Amino acid sequence: MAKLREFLKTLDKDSYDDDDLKSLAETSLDNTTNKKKQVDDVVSHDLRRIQKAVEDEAERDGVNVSGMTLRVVM
Amino acid sequence: MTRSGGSLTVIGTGIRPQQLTPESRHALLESDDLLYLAAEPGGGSWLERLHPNARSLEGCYVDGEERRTAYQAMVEAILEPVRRGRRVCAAFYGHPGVFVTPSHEAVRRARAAGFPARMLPAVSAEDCLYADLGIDPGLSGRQSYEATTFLEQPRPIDGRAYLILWQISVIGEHRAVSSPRYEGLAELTEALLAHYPPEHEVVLYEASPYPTVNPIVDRLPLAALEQEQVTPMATLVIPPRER
Repeated sequence: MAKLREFLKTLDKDSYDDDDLKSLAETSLDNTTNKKKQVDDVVSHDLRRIQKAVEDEAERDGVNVSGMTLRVVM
Repeated sequence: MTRSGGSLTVIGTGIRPQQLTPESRHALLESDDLLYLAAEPGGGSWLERLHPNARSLEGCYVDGEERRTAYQAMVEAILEPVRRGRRVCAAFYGHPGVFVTPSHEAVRRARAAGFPARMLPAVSAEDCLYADLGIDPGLSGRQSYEATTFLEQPRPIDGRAYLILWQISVIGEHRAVSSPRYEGLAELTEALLAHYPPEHEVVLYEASPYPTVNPIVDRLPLAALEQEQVTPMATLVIPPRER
């Protein structure tokens, strides 16, 4: 589930320039649907776009994202 | 007296995986059981790859139920294997002792029952905030409150210090919910307008859980806050009124 999120977690901050990142994303996400948009989202560095992309991917995998509880622990 | 066998170590995973400290990673890998609460929908697969006996505490939340009920269930889920003699690691996102009720309670109850229990420090959202926004709290000082507590138990505001308000997406909401409660922002804005001018710039901040992705940093006048569709994990930062 959520390949995009898992891919992002494997990266180290400032280890790649945008071309490296784009190339890595294209290789790592090659089994996902809507690949071009996901690669664009990765190199956007925009948290809102990434969150939306991860949620969309989770929904495509059958997860009801809107029904998930906010993780507030106080 | 300390009982032999079971033990509890509570750790924080930080906001991003790379922020897991070597000390916490060692405690995690040395444990028999790992119980965790991840911040993201469906998250935790990273922890499940690290530990063969990893189990999410997510099931303790029931949508619409009082959050304290979930916390009691989490504490019980953490302590049950400790009582069976297992070395348990409980992992929470961010810092395990900051805005996390069940972590403190689990340590307290484990110790009261005679089991060794400890909490390790970790990188919190507040640590990320200072780095991302370039704020040194040592220069001006800062006040930091949970937003609902701030409204329900008013306290003096120091206009020369930063004011940081947490959990603004669930103001007045004591239940476990699946979407932000925007109504609370109007009440919060009204309360703050008694202390700051409407044009005073405030910041909506959310740390990034991904290493290559920027944090959310939205700057807006205070008066516009009540109209914002804040993200679920947003924090409100109010710079000093007087410099």
